[in-house]
Amino acid sequence: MSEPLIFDRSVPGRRAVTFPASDVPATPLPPGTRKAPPALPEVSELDAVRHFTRLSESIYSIDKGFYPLGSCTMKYNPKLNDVAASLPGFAGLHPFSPEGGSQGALELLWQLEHILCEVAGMARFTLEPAAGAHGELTGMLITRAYHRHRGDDAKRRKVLIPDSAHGTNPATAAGLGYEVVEVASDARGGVDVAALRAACDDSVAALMLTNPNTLGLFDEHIDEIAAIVHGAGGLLYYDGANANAIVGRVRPGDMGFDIVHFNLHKTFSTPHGMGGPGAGPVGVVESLVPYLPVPLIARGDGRYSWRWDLPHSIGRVRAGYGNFGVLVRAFTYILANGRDGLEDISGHAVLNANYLLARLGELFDVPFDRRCMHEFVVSAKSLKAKTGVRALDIGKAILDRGMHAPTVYFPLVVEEAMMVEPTETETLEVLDAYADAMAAIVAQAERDPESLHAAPISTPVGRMDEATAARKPIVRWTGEAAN
Amino acid sequence: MVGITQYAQQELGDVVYVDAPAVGKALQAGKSFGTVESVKSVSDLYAPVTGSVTAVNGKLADAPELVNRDPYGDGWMIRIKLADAKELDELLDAKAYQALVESH
Amino acid sequence: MSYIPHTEADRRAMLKRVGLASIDELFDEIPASVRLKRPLDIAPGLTQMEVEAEVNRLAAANAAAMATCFAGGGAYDRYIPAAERSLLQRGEFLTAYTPYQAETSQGTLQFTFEFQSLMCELTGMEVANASMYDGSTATAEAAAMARAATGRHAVVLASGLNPEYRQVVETYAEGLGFPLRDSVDGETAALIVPQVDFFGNIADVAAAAKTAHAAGALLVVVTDPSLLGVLEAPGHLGADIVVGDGQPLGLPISYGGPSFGFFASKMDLVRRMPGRIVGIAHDHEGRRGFVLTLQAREQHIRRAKATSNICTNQAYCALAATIYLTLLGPQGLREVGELSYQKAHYAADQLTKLPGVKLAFPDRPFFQEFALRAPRAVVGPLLDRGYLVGPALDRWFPDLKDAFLVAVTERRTKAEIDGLVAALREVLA
Repeated sequence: MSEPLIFDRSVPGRRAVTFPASDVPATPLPPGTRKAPPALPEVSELDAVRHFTRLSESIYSIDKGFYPLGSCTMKYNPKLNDVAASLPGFAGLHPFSPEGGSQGALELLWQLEHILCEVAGMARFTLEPAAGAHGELTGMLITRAYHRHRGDDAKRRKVLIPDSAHGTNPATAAGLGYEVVEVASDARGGVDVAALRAACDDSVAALMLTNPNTLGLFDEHIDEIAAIVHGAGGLLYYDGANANAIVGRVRPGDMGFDIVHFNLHKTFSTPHGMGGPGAGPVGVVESLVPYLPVPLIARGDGRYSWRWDLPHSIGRVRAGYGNFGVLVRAFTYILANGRDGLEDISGHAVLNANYLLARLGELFDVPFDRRCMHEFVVSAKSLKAKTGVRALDIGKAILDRGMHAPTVYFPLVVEEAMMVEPTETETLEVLDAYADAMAAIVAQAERDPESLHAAPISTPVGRMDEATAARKPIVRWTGEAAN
Repeated sequence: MVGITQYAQQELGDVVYVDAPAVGKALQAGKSFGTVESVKSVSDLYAPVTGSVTAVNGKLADAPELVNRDPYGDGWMIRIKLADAKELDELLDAKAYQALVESH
Repeated sequence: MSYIPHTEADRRAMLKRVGLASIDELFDEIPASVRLKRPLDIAPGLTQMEVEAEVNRLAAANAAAMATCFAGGGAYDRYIPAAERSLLQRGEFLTAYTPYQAETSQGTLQFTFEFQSLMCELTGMEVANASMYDGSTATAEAAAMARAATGRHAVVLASGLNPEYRQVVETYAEGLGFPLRDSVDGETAALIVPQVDFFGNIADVAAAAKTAHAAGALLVVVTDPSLLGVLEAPGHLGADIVVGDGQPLGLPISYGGPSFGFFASKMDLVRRMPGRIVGIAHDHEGRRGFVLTLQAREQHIRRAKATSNICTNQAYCALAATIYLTLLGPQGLREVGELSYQKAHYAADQLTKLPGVKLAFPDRPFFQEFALRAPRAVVGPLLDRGYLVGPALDRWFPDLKDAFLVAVTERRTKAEIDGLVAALREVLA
């Protein structure tokens, strides 16, 4: 049975939290107060606790099981990080606290920034962006400010993006008015260097690149790619979505990138929280530091402070200093791991992915016969041709086996794509169980394909009619029972 | 009258929304005049001819599924007044289009 | 300490399966020219005990977090109910991702639907999204959406808007290429006004709506949702889009983040709305459930033509607000607003009895926050005495030298307010 909406549990007059009576003399309320109260639910505390507990029970999470969603880095989120973020000295710190009363927070941010600089090979980082896509926006604003400062902005109208890129890349560049030019992939899944060279001229503002890319493949021509883009006067933007593969092994700065964002909720294990909050700090090489958002942290005489006097800065990209609670968690994670631990993370993330690729490669098409990095893409193209069972059906069938689906139908360059990212925190037994479950699904597809079109059958609801939902959207409770 | 083909509606899947221009809008052959959305895709609609919009199929606002059900009939999208009737000669009929699609 | 579970035997078995002798060989495809040939220059890993000691040291070095909080400017020290804090620790909420697989994410989708409904109830709007990064970015996205909806390009920001929000809108305006103007005219896409301005004063939203609509522009209202148990819903005053920051709905101030931005509008604007939206759907057996809907607006489908590039949002923080509003109900939220109002007015009365201390805007009605002028800078000396006020206003407003904000929430007692008054008396003596 499905859980009713909290509004449908509401009984007028029922309450959970009350507040102390006023202990000060009364002042009449101003004119223009609310005529009718908002229809918030009226429930007891136990009603509320049961409601949200039941909702939580229908959510699949890392704490519950294997979550190999490609390009999302669903690794274990250590509990210690949450404990740190909830310390009263952090959680209770007001953003407008004077610097003298917030030295601990400033020191933490300073240290985190310098660790990220070392990991990325960059000169400075801003910790302000709230998510990866927000980091992309910040990075592309820096790109524009750089070209504008050189008097070059008017002709630098193009941003090059490989066809395997995340949707946020073209959305970011186009949102800023750039013309997005898609660069084809070559037969080995990397950037087609000839196509890149042909697209590169003095109208290029930047190349946005994810390396390893969303196929889980490291671009072997990165030296040449960087030389071509720089030769045309463009900048190289590193989308850090897949940085879990490279930490401590290779640095974006050493690959020739000028701007980098990391997703702390991926690489540095801060919890994804059902879709956020994340954090998308952006690092730049020395020549781009003047354009970073304000404020930046400064240190002098053992004291930390905020610096606002950056005349070429792109400005602010959000209020406050970023998702501080997320930054505390990432910092805590880095302290625990240290330099050797970080190198082990990439090593084992790549080991787990290659092992699972070896096993799943026996079941599905492998579009690029290469070593993968932290994730890989297999295709259900042959299985579909033979049985009619698609990547979508396989993803749904794996839910019935108590595990999470891969990312399906992405990247767009592979038909019937299934993108799998196991992460380093999973054991050999878990990987084997996943591969065994996939093998059972393939066997079922060959025996009884119809049964897979009906999957999942063990979940609270089955496949939803998304077309009707989008044609006649009901996006809020209106007082009528929604059943 | 302009809509999408049988082949296009099959490729798109369940159409959930059609973003059509207002009556009176000038269109240019080969340029996008709107979009058609399915649950997980969105495609530009290209004007086959140059002219101006004289009518928009109001039924699609409440029943976009008509595009799937009857692309050459009730699922029409806009009516265009041709700027140059000769442009029609350049277009394919349904049969010729079908042959073209099948040859690929 | 490491969170990697592999034993030496595991590693050997797995490497054997992939035909390699060492983990380092896995990275052979990376050209030697770019590989890092030394260890990272960061400290070695620590044990859990050592990590806790270090973060405790840093947290303890934030004296301002221990002070009695009268600071405002957009972040408020509200009471967070125990049941909310407890529920939020559930790993299902913390460690799930975006509900791409609806069948195993109904809890996420349902609370998001409830969240959207709650935001609509508070704001008087017809549709709300699943959250934005914060109030400032939600404001900037509202400007962008108004431009797309009206086909006009200019945006007007009211003078009382939070100056940090103004800075963020300026950054987006520069990037997206739209002008910010001082007055509303036929080119204005949106007039953006705060319902309660940065100085705590209550603005006339209905008058702003008349100005905007007379010129054919949309009215965007930025508001503090925790005051909407008392203040009229902006939607009932003529707003077309309502945005703001959700921190006061049960989130810790946490040095400014994470909180969430909320984004609500009239239904006819929904296809231009940024971010995720959850709707009701049914499965093939007719069972009611929820799905991400109207996804063709978003970057993962529309790519270069998306309404916004937003992907990750602040879902977990939106859940906090959903639980908070559920626990408070309409009466609790009203009490929060009324208590804050009463206590702020008592504090203003008492503080302005001190010599040389006066309201910066004596003719304007305020709600839970007010700007005070003092004969000299007092924020630092007050913190030394255990009271956090602020921010000081001269950073953005040079003619408000030695002025600062005082915010009083339902958490502050009369004794604490009297303590602040005594401390300020001492500082000024």
